Amino acid sequence: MATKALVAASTKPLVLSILSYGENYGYQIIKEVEQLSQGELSWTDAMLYPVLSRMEKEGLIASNWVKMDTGRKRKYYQITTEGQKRLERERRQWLNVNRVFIKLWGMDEKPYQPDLG
Amino acid sequence: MESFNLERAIRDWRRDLQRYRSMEPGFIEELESSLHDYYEEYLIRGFRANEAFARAKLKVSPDEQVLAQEFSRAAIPHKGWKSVFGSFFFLLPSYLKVALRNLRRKRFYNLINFTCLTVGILTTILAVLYLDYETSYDDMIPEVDRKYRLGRTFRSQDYSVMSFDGYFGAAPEVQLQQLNGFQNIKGVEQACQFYTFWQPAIIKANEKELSTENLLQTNTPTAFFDFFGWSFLKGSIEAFGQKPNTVVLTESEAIRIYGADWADQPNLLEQLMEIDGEDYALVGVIEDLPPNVHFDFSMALYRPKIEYWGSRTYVKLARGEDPATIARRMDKNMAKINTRLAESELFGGTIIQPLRSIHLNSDMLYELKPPGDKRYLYIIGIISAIILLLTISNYTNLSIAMNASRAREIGMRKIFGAMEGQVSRQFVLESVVLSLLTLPVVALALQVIIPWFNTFMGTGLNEQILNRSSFWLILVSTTLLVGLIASLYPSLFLARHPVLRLFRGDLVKNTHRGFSTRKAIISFQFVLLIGLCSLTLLVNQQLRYIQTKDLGFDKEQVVYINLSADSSKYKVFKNELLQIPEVTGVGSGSPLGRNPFNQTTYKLDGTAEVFDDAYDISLDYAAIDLLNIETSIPDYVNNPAEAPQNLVLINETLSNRLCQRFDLEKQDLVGRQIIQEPEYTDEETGEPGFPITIAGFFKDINMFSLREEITPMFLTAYKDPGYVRWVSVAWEGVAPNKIIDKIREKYQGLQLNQALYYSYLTQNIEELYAKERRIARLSIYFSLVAFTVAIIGLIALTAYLTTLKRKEIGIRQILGASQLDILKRFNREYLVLIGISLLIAAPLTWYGVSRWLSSFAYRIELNPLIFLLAGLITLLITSVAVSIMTLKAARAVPVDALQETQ
Repeated sequence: MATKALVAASTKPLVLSILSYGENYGYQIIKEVEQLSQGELSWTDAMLYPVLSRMEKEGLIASNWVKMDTGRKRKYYQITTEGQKRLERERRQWLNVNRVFIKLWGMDEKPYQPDLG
Repeated sequence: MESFNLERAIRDWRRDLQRYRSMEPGFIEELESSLHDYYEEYLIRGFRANEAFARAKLKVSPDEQVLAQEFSRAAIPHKGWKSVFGSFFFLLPSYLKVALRNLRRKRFYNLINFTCLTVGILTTILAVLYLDYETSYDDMIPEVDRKYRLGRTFRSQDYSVMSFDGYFGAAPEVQLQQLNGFQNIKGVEQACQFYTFWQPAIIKANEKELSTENLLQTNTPTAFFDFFGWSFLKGSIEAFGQKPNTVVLTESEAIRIYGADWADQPNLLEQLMEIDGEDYALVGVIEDLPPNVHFDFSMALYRPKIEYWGSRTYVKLARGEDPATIARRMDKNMAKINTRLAESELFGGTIIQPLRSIHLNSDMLYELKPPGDKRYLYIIGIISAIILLLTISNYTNLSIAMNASRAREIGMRKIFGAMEGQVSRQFVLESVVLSLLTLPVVALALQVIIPWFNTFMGTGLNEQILNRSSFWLILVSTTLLVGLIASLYPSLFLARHPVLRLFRGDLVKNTHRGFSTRKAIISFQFVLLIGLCSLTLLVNQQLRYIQTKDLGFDKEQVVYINLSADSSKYKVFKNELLQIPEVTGVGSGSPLGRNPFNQTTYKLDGTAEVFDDAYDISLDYAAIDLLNIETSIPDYVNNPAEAPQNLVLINETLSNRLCQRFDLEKQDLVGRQIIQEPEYTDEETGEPGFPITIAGFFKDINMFSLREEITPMFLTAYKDPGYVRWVSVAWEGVAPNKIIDKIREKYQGLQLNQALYYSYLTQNIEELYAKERRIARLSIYFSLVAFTVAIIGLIALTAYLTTLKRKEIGIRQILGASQLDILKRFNREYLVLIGISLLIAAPLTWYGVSRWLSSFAYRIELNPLIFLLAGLITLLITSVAVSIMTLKAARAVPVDALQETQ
């Protein structure tokens, strides 16, 4: 299981990433994250919906209610251009961190050699 | 088993969530959609319907509270102050429009609210100004935190005067050496000394002859002005310090002597003026002293020697010095500063007093101005707080009742999406608008009241108060605060109601049963009223007691004349006075009705125990006679010619003490010797103290205020005085001012070259209770105001409630109730409330008043009936108010009331 701090930090980029593949709704987002992380990231509704609402207020995503054939309503979210810009920034940051870890943990072709001189 | 109903289950789930305010409808809808998805997922996985729903629900909202919290966290950052204010200002015009419309619509009730608010704010401001004034004494003196006054403990009493080595006889150099001694103590930066004289002096200047009181003498002229920092309008500190026999006037004294245009007169400075027969050069004029300084003077004289046995001595300490350490240092070095004091076994140490604490905390002999009393500050504070609370609770009650008819308005607002906060903001705004409207009235009223308050309370509140920005700050902030507090409950009460009940329009009526908030507020008001009423009754009872208690002497129609002359002048004066037909007696000796002075040590000869609590007074036989003091020597008093030149009487308190302590009979004391001041040894004979023989007794007299317990006293009765300071004159059958005219004529015939100073004995005694009388009168005024405010509120409330109950009254009447029945019914409600209030108010007041009474050695017994009386007064006034309003409704034709459609 991911730590609370990691969940808090990764929620927004994850949501943006998922939405970058097309519009989606709360239940489905939770399910996809669960699948992608092989159960490591298990979000709750109580956590996700407030985050979505906050991101919407920040202008990163937009939403609309869609009436389905069954008569039920579903709220779909889309990523905005603002959101895409943010996602690009987030991506760079996460990749940077990722690269550092890869080097540090000797998973790189040129592993890290501490300078003990 | 009941079949599972998804619709109902979701409805229940939704209702549970709706209880949380942060759960906006959109949020719930979105969660609901999620709930559906989970439900379907579990159904597909093969769970039964109810099982699937339970699991879905657990997934979506495992803990509603946590859920609500998460959502509220999502909402807050974006609905912060900025947006609250934003919407407030956006809605402000609408709020104001509705507010003004409502103020106009219910003109009568709003006028009542307005009046009460005005009174409440006015008293609060007045109390704030007064408390601020009393606690700001000496604040304006530069670096006041490092400045102290020196006093000394002698016998068991504390003196605000520092004695000179040699008392009156101290030479000018000795006086200055002593001050230098204090100044040379390590940690002392500066020292100065002065003394002020109450005796009037005759001033000859500018071809005028005037009598002036409050002269100040100092022999440290520059240090004095430097220390207190009074600013010069003309002249300078340096000129005053250059040579002795110079004088500095205060502005008002300069106006008195040289006229309003004194500043424009050429060669004003260096003019000579004669003060009590000596020439002084005028070297400066300073601003009048602020009223909140612990002393006052009209002119300051620079003399080589202060004509008194001691001085007011002040020191400024270096930064960071601890006053207690300095005082110890002074005691250690006292042998160098004042040898005689250091050697005296009666000397108990130097007292060092922060200047700022003198007014409220000093309880020493010979204070410069009558000290303030913290307890009275508390009383004023409490009473004005009571009035403010009454005002606010009045407003609360009346506006709940009044705005109950606005239920539909609130309902419509809510339906159109107004949040609770937005609804309550309307009411807060209305109350603030109303209280701000009182501002001009309060400001104008203060202009009128402050001068009156100043004369009445003997204070010096700034009368040009409207020019001070700090005042406006207090005024506006108090007004806003009162407005906000007053609106607190009504706005919450009205805004919290569920929409449906708002449309049923039963906001006030349905709280009729049980102990509603309205009743709680009314009871609270009753508690305040009963408390205030009994407080006023008790304080005034004690004052009446003070005025009528037998003091042991006749105080009516006796006047003291300051003679300050030798016996030959006295004899002439006495004979002249006795020529006046209305004068019934003339005597001399110690005046009565005064503040405590120094006590004497003494012991009964042949015993070892030394007491230190006796007062020495002396009166000639004629004075004892005219004051009608009961003695064991009536023959001598009636016929002084037969009496010895002088003899000593002791009072009952002293004789009782000696009898008990040494197991003696009263008559055994006659002829026994008392050694006064046994610590003193006669250098020639080696005998200790001053022996006196007890010649008889006199009945206890209350020479001081009744706060002071009677302590042992020696009364020296004598035939012919040596030097006479005070002449006592008894008269009858003529008004006090008439007799003074006649006495003045005789006084001027004496050619004493001094101004006539006189004071009536009754006036002396009254002055001892000046503080108490002021407080008593103020408490009466304040009680009246409080009662008026409360009664107006009650009348308005009853009036409003009876309009709501007109139908009830109508039905009762049709069913045969008489007007009396209805009156009884409506009054009964208040009777119970007053009963409860009485039970709460009585112990509180009892406690408070007995604390106050304990400062009097002689006092009334607290009578519980007083509280009952206060309760009855409150009941009476209340029921008159309630009955009048109810009768008005009951007189109406019942059918009319019933025909009204709501």
